[in-house]
Amino acid sequence: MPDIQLRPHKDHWVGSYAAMASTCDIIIDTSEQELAQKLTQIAQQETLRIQQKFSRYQKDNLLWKINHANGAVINVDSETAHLLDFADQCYQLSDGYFDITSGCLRRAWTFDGSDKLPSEDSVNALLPFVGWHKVSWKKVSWKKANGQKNLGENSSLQMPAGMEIDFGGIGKEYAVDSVLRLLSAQTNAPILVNFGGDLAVTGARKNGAAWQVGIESLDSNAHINKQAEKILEISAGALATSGDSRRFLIANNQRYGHILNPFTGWPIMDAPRSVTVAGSNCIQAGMLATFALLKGKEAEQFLAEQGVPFWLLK
Amino acid sequence: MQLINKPNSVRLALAAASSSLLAGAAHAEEKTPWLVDSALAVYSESDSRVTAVEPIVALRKDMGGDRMLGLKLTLDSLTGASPNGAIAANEAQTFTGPSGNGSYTAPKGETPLDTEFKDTRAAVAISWEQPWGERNRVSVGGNISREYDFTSAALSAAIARDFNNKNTTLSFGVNVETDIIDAVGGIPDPLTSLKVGPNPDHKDGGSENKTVSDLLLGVTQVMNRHWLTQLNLSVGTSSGYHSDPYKVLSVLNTDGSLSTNPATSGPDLNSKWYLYDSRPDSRSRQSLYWGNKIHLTEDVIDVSYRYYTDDWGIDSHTLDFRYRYEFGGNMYLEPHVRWYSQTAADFYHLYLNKGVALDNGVNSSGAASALDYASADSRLGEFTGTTFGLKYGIELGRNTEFNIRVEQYQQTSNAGAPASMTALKGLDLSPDLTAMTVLVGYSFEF
Repeated sequence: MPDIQLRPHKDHWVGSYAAMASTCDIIIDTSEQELAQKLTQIAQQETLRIQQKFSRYQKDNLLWKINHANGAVINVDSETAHLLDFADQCYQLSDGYFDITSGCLRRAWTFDGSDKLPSEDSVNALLPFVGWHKVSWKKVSWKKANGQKNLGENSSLQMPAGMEIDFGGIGKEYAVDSVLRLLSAQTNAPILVNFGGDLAVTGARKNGAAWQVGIESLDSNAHINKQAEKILEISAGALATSGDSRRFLIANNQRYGHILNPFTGWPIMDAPRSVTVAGSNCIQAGMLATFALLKGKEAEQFLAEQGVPFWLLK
Repeated sequence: MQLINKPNSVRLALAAASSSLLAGAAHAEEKTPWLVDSALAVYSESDSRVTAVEPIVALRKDMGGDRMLGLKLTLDSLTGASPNGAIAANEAQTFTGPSGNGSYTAPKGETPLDTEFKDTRAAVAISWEQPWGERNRVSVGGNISREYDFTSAALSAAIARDFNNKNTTLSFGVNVETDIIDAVGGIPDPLTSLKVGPNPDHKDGGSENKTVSDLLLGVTQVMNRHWLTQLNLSVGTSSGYHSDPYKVLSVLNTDGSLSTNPATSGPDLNSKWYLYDSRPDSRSRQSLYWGNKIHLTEDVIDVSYRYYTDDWGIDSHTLDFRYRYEFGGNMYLEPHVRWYSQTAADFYHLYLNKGVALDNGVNSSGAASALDYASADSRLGEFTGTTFGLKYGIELGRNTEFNIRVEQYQQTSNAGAPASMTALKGLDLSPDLTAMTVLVGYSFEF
């Protein structure tokens, strides 16, 4: 197991480890070191399990098999079936803008702050490989005779050769919620799970107060002055942040953010640099934030309509 | 097409989708629980006939990698009275129970029922199912059941293979079973006269056995998103002892009155003439089953037809229809209608006619010669059975459900005697059977 750091605070413990390209903090409202140690270990194990299973950088996991199936039908397990089904619903709800097959556009785009736009040809060449509607996704969910729901163990996916899927837009939020659920089954102590700004809590702190969380990407100067991060309060549910004020290109006096339109292969223009949304769980909050970015300049209106607390960095 | 009308509906839809993702995926990383289906069935026939109480506990567990272990325990407790095969007569009829102790008397005009009928059966079944390669699933199973006069053991194996993007599944299964019948009072010789008291002719402490083997070939086809259809062909044979050691046939005079036992010697002969059941020592059968599951938006329709035929002359048709109506709050109602009809076995006789029976070779000592097989077991006769049922279920949580099912069964038969048998006039020779089943089930995980 990679390292775990356990730090005592005045009235709580913070366990940390690195995973999913973030620092993962498990904040446990307890004075017991042993409990904090145990919970952080469980959290790390679960995080690494999800990372191993759904990372597109990992070879020989199910996702690798799906992305290298070359047109063959691939059977998926129940957990993957649920994630695919969720991605399918997000595709429908966003009218096709949220698309887990759009990751291959990264081959044309490198958001390094420079002015190097890709050629139209190189983007157009990738478009045939984008589009969830081209994927044949069969979810098996018969209710069994005894009334129990078949959880989709026999579901399958068939994708034209050359296409690939990517859980990058869901994975971290899913891990936050999964870890929180696992930990809350172990203890009654209040817990906050924070994976680099995507976070969820079991409830208010022991003393009834809200948790104080600093969200770095909500402050345009945060990368210069770490102390300047925006402090938010949360006592229930989750917060998730989408967008990254440091991943963009600037050319022809235009800012090209890294959120791509799957229909054109080009960045969504005039989107906020970063959106933070509060939701009942991290996945919901994360999806609302992502959907908002995909709305471009209508992001703020979209979030206002949803009736959720949100914070924008334009 | 824009289906989202309310401004905040994306938030609500995402809340529902994410909850279902988290609830569903919870299975994946947690240790899988044992899934338990428990049920108590109470079956009760009218006219104080058989009452059965049957607790069932079935356990299943995913051992990881889609490998399922199953265990099932069943306990049957039967009490009451069961027809012994003799028909109602215009006089009272007295029989000695098979144990030789105690007797029972059927009043005039009533079908004789063996009141010694009492049984407890315990059965254990174990099964294992797992994937085999990418497209196959294999399963093996075994079960043993035991009651005081009957022991049965069976083994089964099956393989299912997916084709056509998992839209088609072909399956092939084998089942072998061996039964040992250890009748109370011994096994009587077929078509010999029923004796009063312990039967000296019976093989003392002897037992008989039977072996059964079945082959099953099935195809399951996903027709579209809403319709799943299944076709099963099953072929089976059995050999060995098929008779019922407790069943007899009445021998009647031409006017329908009970014949007097022609045998003259032996103190323990019954004064009336009844012959022991006799059936062929082999049976081969084929059946074809066509099942359909139609998944509406919420509701599920389950409709099936089964045709069965065997070389004893029984042909049967079964139609079964269930409609699962989901009415919110995780509750459902499921009406059930089942219709069953069969023809009689070639050797089924409601009774034997003395003249015909004798002409056909039942000689005066009561032993059969030319008449090889005869049985008055109503289960081998012509009848029609109709079941009406209603089930109510409520899902209380993940894998937790309570349900209750009530079913009413009505069986009618047209078997009767010609008008020339005046002694039988006005007697109900094949009374209807009415039975009620109440089944209470509770499923949970631990």
